[in-house]
Amino acid sequence: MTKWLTLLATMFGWMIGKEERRVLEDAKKKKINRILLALLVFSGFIFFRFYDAMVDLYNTTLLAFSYKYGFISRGLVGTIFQIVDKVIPVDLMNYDGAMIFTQVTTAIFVMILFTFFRQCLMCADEKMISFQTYLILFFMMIAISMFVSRRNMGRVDIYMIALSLIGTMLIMKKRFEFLLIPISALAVMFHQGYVFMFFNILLILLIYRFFTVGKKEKKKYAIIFVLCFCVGSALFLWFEFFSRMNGEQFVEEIISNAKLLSYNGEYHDTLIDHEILGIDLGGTEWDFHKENFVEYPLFLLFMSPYIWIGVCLFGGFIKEAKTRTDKCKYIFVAIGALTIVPNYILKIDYARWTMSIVTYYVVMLLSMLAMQDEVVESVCSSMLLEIKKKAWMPLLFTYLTLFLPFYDVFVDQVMHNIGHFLNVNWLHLWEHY
Amino acid sequence: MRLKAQRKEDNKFLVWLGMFALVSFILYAPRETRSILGYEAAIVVYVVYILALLLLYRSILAKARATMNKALRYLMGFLSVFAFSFFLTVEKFGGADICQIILLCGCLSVLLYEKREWLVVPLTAAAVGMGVGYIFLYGSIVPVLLLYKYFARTGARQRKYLSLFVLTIAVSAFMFIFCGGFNYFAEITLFCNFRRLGVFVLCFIPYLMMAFSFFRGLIRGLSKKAYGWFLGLGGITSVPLLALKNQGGSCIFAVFLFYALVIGMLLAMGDLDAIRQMERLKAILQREEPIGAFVLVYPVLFMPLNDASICRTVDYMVNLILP
Repeated sequence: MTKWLTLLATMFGWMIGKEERRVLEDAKKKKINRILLALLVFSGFIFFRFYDAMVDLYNTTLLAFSYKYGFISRGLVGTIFQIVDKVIPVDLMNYDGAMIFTQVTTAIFVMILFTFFRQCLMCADEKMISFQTYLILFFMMIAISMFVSRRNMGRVDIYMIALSLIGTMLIMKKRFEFLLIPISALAVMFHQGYVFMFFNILLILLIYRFFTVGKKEKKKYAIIFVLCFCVGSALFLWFEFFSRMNGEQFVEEIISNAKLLSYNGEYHDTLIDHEILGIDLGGTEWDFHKENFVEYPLFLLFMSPYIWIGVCLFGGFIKEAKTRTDKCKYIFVAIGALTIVPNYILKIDYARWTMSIVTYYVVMLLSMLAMQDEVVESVCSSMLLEIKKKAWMPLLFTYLTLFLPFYDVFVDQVMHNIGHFLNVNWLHLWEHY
Repeated sequence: MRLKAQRKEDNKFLVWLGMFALVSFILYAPRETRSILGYEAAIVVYVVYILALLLLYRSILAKARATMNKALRYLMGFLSVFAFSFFLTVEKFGGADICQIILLCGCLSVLLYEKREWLVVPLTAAAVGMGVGYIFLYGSIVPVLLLYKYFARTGARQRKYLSLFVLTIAVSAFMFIFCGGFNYFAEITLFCNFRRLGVFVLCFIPYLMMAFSFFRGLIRGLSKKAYGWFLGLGGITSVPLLALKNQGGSCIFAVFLFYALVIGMLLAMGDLDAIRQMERLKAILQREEPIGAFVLVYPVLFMPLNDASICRTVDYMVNLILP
């Protein structure tokens, strides 16, 4: 009798607990949906503020690339565009078509972004929702303003970020993680620079998982890591060193298609020279390097509050880690963005490298919070309390907006104005203006 | 010690606000100006304008209760978003408006510290002398605050503020007539940007609701409700310029300036009703956290204001949605 009563009481308690849990979950869902709605409306206004209604020459020329010319570098987006052109009963091989395609893909990118945000908010502990919202706001302001503005509308970076986010969601959910291998391949096919820019997100998360899970699952993550790494590296080597061998045979056709797709009947000559004909552009870009060497340290100075927050957070994880394995794990997470360093040395698109660093750290933070990492939760909570006490807290996001949108070569308009002023009046280091 | 720490935090905030002003200048500063002062002098005037605003903010923060400082920082941040960028256009850079606001900051400072308050009369005269539009755009702030002080004081001090109020109005009227104020509306450009203004007002509904809620609560709490109405409606004196001079951006800026400075001054002067209303608004925003974080970043998307199209964001919205 006692046994039955105990069983009944336990079941009753479980049902009440379940009901309480359901009420709490519903309240959490409601709060998250309100936050996402506010973010969506806000992103609408960011769109109106920064949208230039234009796709630049570089991004329209890229749509003329296609795998019908061979397994060429950066050919995937053009291949998709030209397949869509053939499938739908509308001629897309003109500027309006390129614009429509770009608008649709940008909208899909924003949808994937919000799906990722939702998943992070739903999976995380409720007490971390505020911190995550501020982080999402920070990232959303930079990402949306950058990819709707003229220089970056239609930039292949949105496809690379979207694929990294999809891979991140699979890792967070622990589902279909083998798909990371084809995701890595697709991302490198969009742009071989993926291996330096956004590949680190997936690789470091796999390392993070490897250090977090039990012995049984470690093997799975090790295999996926090795396969992703090999596939990404192999494709990078192919595109970088072997894919430009027969460019002369089809360059004229690509140029003529690029002219059809552009807003002014021109094409991006340096893109064609480098990616189709394999001409090295290093010598022609030295002036832009000089400008970046002047402007970028100043940019870092202006961004010091955000850098301070990042250093405190990721340093805090390493400091708070209890075991040696955890310390190792957080060290990998903290230094994972260093994969972008070769780009800073060899290439000139400093704004895009900055975006890749921001994306890495934000996605890592959001996903670790979604995976309810206790050390990360504790450090983030303390950091939020610390920031709220700071005098500059009200201006944290307001100040950032002045530096948006990020451009491609020059970081943004503020730094370009400073660099121009310094160069014209004192330095006289570069000729272009 | 706590006061010293509070002052230190306030100064840090003002330094960051100064940084915000510097970056706004780098981003929006025009390459030329239509001002009679010349380009270099216009830069100097702009720097003086920023310093005047920051000093006024400092005075307000120093005078207000410590519990109000966070709310005041948000209020100052909101005003600064528009104030720092509004005069960085070819037409307004180094112009009369910016000098008028410098003088206005001087008036508010003397009212705050209650020293040499008679200076509001010559300063107002000088401001109107620079441009008669001052009466409509920014000229209501000082009389409204003098009226507030008249109702808030008793005896000899009440008479002093009544005298200052009457003198300020008289001097403004005299300078308006003397400087050809009656010809000011000889050339009329009727306002035509209804769609843009309507969209802008719609976009700022949350802020309008907050301001409405603040002043409604303030007026309800006052014993003499008459001056509450002056405080609440004093910002609409810019409507004639909106309607007859098509100065949409200037009028919106004037409205923001009026309400931000009036609320700031009330809090700095320790008005209990204003403090109560601000505490209530603060509680509502804290309850809505983290959505409350948007309150200061959202207005930045609408800067800088201009007279032609209100602002780029609204202009684009109208062209896209209501062509």
